[in-house]
Amino acid sequence: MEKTSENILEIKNLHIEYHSDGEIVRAVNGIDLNIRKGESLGLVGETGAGKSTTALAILNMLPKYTAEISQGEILLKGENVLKMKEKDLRKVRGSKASIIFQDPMTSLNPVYKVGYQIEEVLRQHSTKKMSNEEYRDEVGRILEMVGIPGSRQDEYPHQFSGGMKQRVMIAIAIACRPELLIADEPTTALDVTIQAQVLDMMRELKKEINSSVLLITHDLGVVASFCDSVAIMYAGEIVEYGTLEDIFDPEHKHHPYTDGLFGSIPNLIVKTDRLNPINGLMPDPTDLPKGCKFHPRCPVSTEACRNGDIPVAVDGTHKIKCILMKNMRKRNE
Amino acid sequence: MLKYVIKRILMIIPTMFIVTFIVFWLINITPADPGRIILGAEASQDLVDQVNHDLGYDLPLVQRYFKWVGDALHGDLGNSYYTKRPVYDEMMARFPYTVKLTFLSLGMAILIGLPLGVLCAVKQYSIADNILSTLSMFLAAMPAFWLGLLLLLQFSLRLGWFPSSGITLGWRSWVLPTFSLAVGYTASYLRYTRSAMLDTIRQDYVRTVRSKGCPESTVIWKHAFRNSMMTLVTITGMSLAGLLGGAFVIESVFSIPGLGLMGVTAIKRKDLPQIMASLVMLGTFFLVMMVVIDILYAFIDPRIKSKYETPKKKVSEKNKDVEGSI
Repeated sequence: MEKTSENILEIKNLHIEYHSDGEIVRAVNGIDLNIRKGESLGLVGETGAGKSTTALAILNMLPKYTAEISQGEILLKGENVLKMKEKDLRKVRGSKASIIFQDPMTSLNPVYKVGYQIEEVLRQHSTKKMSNEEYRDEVGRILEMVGIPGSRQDEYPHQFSGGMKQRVMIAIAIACRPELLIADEPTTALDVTIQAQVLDMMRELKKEINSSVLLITHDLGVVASFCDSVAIMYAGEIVEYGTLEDIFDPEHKHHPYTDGLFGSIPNLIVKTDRLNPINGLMPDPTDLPKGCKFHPRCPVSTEACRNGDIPVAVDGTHKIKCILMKNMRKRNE
Repeated sequence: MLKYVIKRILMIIPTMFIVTFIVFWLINITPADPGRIILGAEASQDLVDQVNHDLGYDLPLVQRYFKWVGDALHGDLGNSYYTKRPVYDEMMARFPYTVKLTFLSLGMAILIGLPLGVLCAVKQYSIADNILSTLSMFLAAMPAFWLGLLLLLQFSLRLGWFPSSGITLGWRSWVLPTFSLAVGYTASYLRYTRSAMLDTIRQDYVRTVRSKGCPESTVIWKHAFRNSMMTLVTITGMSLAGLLGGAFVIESVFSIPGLGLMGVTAIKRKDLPQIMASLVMLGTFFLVMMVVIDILYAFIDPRIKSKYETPKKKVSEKNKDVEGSI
């Protein structure tokens, strides 16, 4: 990990709401995130925790009429993307920050050749004039970077397998060497062997173009093998945040939700007959509980969890949003 | 691809046989016969039978059908029972007017309905969308002949801007017929385009294009619209059938000497050769357009095109190279 203090991405107190049929869905409720240059941050959480919403917000691509960013700012290299004009945003998307979507099967346009779909992002952002031939060569070179022969750029998406399509998506995302790569569950739709290949390849590419990565996933194994730091998200809040060691070390104190997540992974060393999943379901985002959002499912919740603000306990790089973390230093808020 | 096209064109032949036979049969089961209609209700049955015999109408259905098919294959569609003139000549003189009316209306439906439909989809729930969607519902529900009569009343009788009938005044003769035929289709086109675009605009690949930083015009027209084309081409094909049928009615309202007017008159008079001729012409025209649309599919969607193409060896070899890496 490259230790520089330069923050590529800073998210400050971000609140996002969706409005539908008179209901307000509180998808993201005041999250703070920092990604330094060259750092990989894993954003982990269940379905519906607000991970993808956060990812789309970074490129200011949330649906215009239904989503509202009610508070907070997102600074990409110091510039607030939420205040940018559409024209300036277009210069950011695909060039300074790009995104790999979850489902490669539907994320490529079926009627255009894959080469054209890569070329499109190059043409959009290239600073120098290039001939069609040069574009072809460049597209071929990018395809080879993701392990696809350059000659296949004249084929259509339906001629590619799922894993190959995701490689093409990655090729589109890295084509302009972005400083921030957002990967929204890039391997969820792929089968396990392909997952490993795609992750290995992403790791190589990350080194090669030296970009920061925001990896969104619900797979702790993927996080352990890819990320430098981890944020655990629950019901639109970050409940635990720290370096990979902070989160994965069983000696450390953890948020009960994080404990629950690890409890639902089979352990090779300790023999158990049953896994310990977290009981209950994510709270309804139109009607979030007061106090700690996790208290209805928390095995160790107390009366104090039901009311008031939950303080964030800090221990070095490790932050936990839980009342019970008494022996950690409290951050003054 | 070529093989597929030829196959589609050859399919027209059996279809035409089936269509013509059904019409022959339908006319046969209606009461009254040409002899009776020519001579009137007062004529004696002997005389009517004589006329029918002269026309060849007394032969059994199947025999009559194959005689007609044999003649038609020799390019002879017979003479009209009434005018005694070759049907073919009259049909060829009239056909262009019907085609003109149909394509003018289709053109109007596409040129107006399509952009407005895209606009409604892109600005969903805006005031413009609400107004256009509601308005198009009313217009689509309006029968063409009724609208035609209203337009005649206002613009030809009261204001005198356009002629009420015939085609002798150049483009002005075509304004009212085209308009009355096209309004309903423009409205449906708008609605179909709107829903097709609303569907594609929400697709993941459209989001991908946005994430590349492409301008909104590229997102809408190059990516979303191109994928809506499949639906729109299908709708165009279906509209063509409706427009041809509508042209029959509108030609009667505005007295345009097209195939429709000829067909309607012929049906009233049971003028079999003329009915069959207009039917064969319209049927062929329609079926050819359907083949054109099927071929268009392949150009719009590479997945369909690849289905018609025999797989090349080259592709499978290329795949082999990559197997190691994926």
